[in-house]
Amino acid sequence: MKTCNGLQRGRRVKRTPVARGFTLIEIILALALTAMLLGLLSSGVFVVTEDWNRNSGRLDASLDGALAVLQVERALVGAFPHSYTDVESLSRRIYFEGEDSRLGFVSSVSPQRSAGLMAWQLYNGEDGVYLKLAPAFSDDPVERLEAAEAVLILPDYTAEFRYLYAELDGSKEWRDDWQGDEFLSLPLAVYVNFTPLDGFDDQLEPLEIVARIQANQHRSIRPNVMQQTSL
Amino acid sequence: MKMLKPVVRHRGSVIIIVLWTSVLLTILVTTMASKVRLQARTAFHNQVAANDWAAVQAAVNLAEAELMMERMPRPVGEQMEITDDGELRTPAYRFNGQPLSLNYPSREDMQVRIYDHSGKISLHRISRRNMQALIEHRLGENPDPNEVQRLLSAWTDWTDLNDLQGLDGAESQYYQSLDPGYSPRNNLELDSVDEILHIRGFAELFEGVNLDAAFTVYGSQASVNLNLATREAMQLLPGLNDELIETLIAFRETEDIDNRFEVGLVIPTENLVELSRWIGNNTSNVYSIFVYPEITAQSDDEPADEGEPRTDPVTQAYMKIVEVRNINQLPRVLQVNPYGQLPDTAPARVDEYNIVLPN
Repeated sequence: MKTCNGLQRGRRVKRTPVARGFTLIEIILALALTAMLLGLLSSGVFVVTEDWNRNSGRLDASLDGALAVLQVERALVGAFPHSYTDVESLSRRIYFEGEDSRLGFVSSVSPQRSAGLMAWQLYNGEDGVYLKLAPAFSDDPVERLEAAEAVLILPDYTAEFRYLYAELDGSKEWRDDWQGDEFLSLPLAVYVNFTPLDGFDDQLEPLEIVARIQANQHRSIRPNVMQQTSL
Repeated sequence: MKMLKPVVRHRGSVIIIVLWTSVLLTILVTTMASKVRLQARTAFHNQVAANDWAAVQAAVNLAEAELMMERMPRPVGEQMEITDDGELRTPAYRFNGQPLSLNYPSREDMQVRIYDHSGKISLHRISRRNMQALIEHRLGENPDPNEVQRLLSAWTDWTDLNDLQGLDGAESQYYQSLDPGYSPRNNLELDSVDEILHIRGFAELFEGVNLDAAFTVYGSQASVNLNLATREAMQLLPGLNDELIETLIAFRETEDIDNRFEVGLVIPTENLVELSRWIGNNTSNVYSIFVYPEITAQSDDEPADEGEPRTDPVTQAYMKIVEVRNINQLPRVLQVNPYGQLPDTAPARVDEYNIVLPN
């Protein structure tokens, strides 16, 4: 400022009364505007942060859910007609226990990537859908599944299962149960409907799986067609 | 000059307010942008995964069609592959795991490999004598006869129809005492090749072996066709070593192995004596189809050498085992594994070999 020429100096001298300071009204107005602006900004940041937390939580939940659903879908695609010998009748059976709220099957897919076929069991618990896993070995895996530790894979959901079978005339129908030890085969497809439990309808989306089971017949055990059609 | 100082202070406070506002606005915009970016990336990857899954399914169907067409009479005037000696190459031998170009092509970046199960050791057809030879081969030089007998007895007890324990064998009493306990199959018909890992001592015996690549439980063939054999199956065959296996693989890339005489061109006589009872020229009607998206990007750390055949880095693929019945029916699906483990797909690991074909 020391290098100002005479013209500038003249102007400043002229404006001296204006530059002396702000009036009270100006200061109040400026403070009010600043407060309003800061208020708006902080509330905006607050809203975005809240939104972020909620969305990232939902995103994480939906990613976890999507991963669980993807694993179940892949396991159903890899479902295998696992055979075992029934101890009482000494007849050969196929393991697949399908009910409307519970499903047990054997799959070539193993979440731990362990060798060999894996028995899966999905069922509804009080707080969501649970999964049990046990090695299929070469016999009936039911007892091992009962003893296996359950893992909550979809919290706050309930699962409903349907099973596709074909009539002799080729028409297809969804059933709400499928017993592999009677039918001696697997269904053509499995439909799983995951719906949010009561109270979580507004937070969670319903999820669906339609998995086609291509390896639905054992290579040497013939399906019990009469049993299927009579039902 | 004294009047100028308050003016400077006012300008500074305005700048500070403007800067703070800018910082807050920047944080606001950055937060929103990163959220949008994450969602966009999630959606993009989901889309890629869905597209790849659909393309894999399509390629599997085309591979099945290829196998059905193989059962049809060959079209008149079809250009057949011919060896340097002018011999026609057997088209069915292309199902030895080499990358295939299908008649009805799949998506360009989809890799399709088909393995005929006559290139694997059949667990249903293996004789006790051959199983013993395989165990001995696996145990290495000078195997302990007691250990061989123990493993052989465990195999016999697992596959026989009764629950009576043989000498040094293992039946329900032994397997139920394990944690978790289970029952032996008591049937020669195993459900899957991995089942042999549950037989006493076999998990250690075949440790590190890709069993699905080496063995099969499908088909009626008792012998292994060297034109179709996987590297894993050949590594288990008595009479073969790594050097001979690589030479065989290099040889069959240009020539068919039609008879034992031609096997003898590669395998020394003393090895051929051991190997002879394992091999045959049959093909089967059971195939493993592997499909996966090709990885084309070369690693920057390990540039491929000039002229060196590129090794496929993929080891896992969608796998489907099918039995082709005839040209009027779709193949029967025997097993599906979305995370199937590929056999060793590397080309022959020999630079050159010296085999003189007779005229």
